[in-house]
Amino acid sequence: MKDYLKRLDGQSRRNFIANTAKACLGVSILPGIGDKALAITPGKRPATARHVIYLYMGGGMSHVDTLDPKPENPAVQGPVKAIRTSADGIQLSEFLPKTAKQMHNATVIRSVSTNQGAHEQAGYLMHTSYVKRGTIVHPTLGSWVSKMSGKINNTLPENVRVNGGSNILGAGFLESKHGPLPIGNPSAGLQNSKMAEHLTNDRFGRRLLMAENLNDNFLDSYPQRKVRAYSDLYKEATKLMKSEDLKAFDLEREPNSSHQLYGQHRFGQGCLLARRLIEHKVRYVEVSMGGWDTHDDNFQRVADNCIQLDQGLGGLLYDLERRGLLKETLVVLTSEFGRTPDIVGARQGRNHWPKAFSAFMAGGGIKGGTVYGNSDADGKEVAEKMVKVPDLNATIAYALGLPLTKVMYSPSGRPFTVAHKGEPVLDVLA
Amino acid sequence: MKRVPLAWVALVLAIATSVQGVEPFRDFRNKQGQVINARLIGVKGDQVAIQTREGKTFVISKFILSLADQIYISEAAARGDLMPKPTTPNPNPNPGTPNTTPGTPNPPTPPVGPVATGPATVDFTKDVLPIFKTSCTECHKAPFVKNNRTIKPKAGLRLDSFEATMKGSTDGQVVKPGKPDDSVLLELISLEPDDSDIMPPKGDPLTAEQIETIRKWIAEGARSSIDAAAPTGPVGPNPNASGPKASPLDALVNKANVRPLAPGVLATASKNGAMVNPLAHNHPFLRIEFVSIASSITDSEMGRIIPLVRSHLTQLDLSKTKVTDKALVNVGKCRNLTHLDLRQTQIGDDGLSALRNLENLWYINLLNTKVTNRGLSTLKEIKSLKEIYLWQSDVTASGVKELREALPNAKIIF
Ligand code: HEC
Repeated sequence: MKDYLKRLDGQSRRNFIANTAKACLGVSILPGIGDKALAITPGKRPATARHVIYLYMGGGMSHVDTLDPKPENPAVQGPVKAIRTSADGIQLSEFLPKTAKQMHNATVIRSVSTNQGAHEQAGYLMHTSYVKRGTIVHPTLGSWVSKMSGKINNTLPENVRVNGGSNILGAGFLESKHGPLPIGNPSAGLQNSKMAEHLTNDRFGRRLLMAENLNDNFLDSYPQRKVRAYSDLYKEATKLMKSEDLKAFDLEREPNSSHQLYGQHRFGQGCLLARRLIEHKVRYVEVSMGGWDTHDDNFQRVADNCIQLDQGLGGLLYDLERRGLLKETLVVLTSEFGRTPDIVGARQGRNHWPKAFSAFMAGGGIKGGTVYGNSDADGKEVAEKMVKVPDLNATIAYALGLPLTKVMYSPSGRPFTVAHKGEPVLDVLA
Repeated sequence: MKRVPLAWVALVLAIATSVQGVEPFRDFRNKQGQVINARLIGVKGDQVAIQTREGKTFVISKFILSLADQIYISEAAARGDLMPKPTTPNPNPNPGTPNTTPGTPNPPTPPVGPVATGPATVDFTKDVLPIFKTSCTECHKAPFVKNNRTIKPKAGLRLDSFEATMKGSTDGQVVKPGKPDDSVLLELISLEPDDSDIMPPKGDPLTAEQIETIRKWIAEGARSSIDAAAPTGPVGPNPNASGPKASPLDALVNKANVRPLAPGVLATASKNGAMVNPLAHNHPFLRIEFVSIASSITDSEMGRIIPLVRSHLTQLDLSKTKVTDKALVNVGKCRNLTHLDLRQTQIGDDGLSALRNLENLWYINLLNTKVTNRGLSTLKEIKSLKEIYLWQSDVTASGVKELREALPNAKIIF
């Protein structure tokens, strides 16, 4: 890799790296050499949110132990208490004390409902608004955002996923450059040479193929060392990027107090990175956190998870607010489904429960201090104002000012829209 | 959301007969849940023509249909097998001659509404709201639960308060102050009683007097009350207003009365890497920001750009730029500025004093600037302010306390 680059003169070397960075990362190094500029807000309405930070709780976060506590109903609630929040009359679980202090800036939707009870299908629906069916692979919401709206920062990718884990959803049938740039470990930033682990072979291959188109010699010279080459390229490319923007990825530039605020764990660091990225005008950042599939020992595990979740989310909302960034940043917290309000057997577990669960939205034009919809007294059924997953995603897209009825075609000619046929929940918007 | 001029209906009818059989019959559902079995025979912009099996043709706004239907229509239009084709960019084909080109029918521009001046005679609460309460709020009020189902206001439109009325429906404003002929609400109540779009859709139509009352109220500037200021103020941001705000940005757009800038001007303004973008597609207002190049932006850049876009500039992000207090003299002349971000700049108290006359400034970010308590005295005078960010500036707790007293409704983060 290095040798190959040395054989080139300075100009071609820079071109090679610039092209490859663009192809591999969806990053263009020189502002303005990307595609024809798309409108930043392509719809007819001004956007209330310019950025989205989407916090995805993988595995199925127990709604009654977090966002929808049932203090009146001990059979359902088990040992978990409810606490007051900064919004009158709204309670959250005792596991979320820091988040509770930010409730005046947030809406909890307690009536999300799907019929997908398996992790993969439910996560697919949550990310894409479509049921996984047949051969078509649908784009994630972040990929739609990248496809439909212009970049604000030309140097950085528009769509980033932090802590992606095994979740390989991405651009779907859209051009792969719209898929998320995966950051495996936020603390390692872009220097993380393990990045490629999070790319499937197929995906990696596709990106490499594009690199190949730009530089025929590349694969010929280094067919067998793809992975190393990729991470080397990554380093090269990122060094070349304008330092002002590269800084976005470098958490070491944050003072100690920030690390304390967000927490020295993967999720907290992911939230901190998300804030830095949206400060640099990245449009869509997903930060995920796993470990919520609590079939056993639910209460202890949820309590443990919430230490990270609460510190990361509470810190993020607090920090965005004091910087004046919450106004235009929509923070969403959700999961592929909730968990059975019934406590299952001696294992003290909860199983999958898609019929009624919760989502949390703050900033970016969201009304503060409100609850939308409700589950019934047992947390089992939606009691009022059901919100389907496409409705939730339509609400996000609406806040971003995307046209919900704009049709895009898959290469096979089938029509799709950003949030399927979801209706935005206008009542959660201020 | 303009209604279809009659001439265009006739045209669609004419075209319709020529393209029969293109689209299959299917059920169209309006947002109220009513279903009509018909086929799509024409699309133009937001208007669609459908035909029932009996051969009856309706021309409707696609926005009254379910999202699923809207998507179906977009797909059909995009497939291009419908006549007329979606509107071409040509704004005015063959003016004056009978329009024989299907696909480019050109609805006449609506007459400009009378300019509202002088004292108002119609009072919203006394004269208009009672009409809404009798005939409209059954369907257009806050969501409520009935038989375990949540009933949402039809079309997302609430007519149970002034603010809600001005906020409009899912698709936008239904009342344009001073412009009755541009106001969807007036249009819908004035339709023929047998028109399927008339409001109210069932029961007695409004009387001619009631319609005239509403028309007059709109013509007089759609004020919140007789005593409210003339249209240069009534629905503008009012920091003291409680309850839901009537989309203050829409109100400001109306008041500002500016047209979208020509692409050439935008290109000139963005010459050296400034991002100059309309707030939405075809929106008259602009946001300016400097991404990646902020550190090279100085007062001279601002002096070049701002005069080009002064009345259109509503959101200005100068964060991390090298601008100094001097640059704010130009900024202070942008009367429609609502959002000013000065984060991480060397701006100080002297700069702020140039902003004193901004009447529509809602958001100011002074994070990590040199602003001190002295600068806060300027902010106290900007009564429109709703959000003020002062973290890491040089102000003190006592200064902020005084500011809070002067602007009790503003969110002040320190
Ligand atoms: C029986 C219920 C009902 C009543 C009463 C009613 N409306 Fe409506 N209104 C609707 C429905 C339903 C729609 C949505 C249009 C559609 O989907 O066909 C609507 C739509 C509208 C719209 C259009 C909103 C948009 O952007 O498309 C306006 C304006 C409106 N109504 C005004 C009124 C006024 C003014 C009154 C009283 C004079 C009134 N309505 C009474 C049911 C009602």
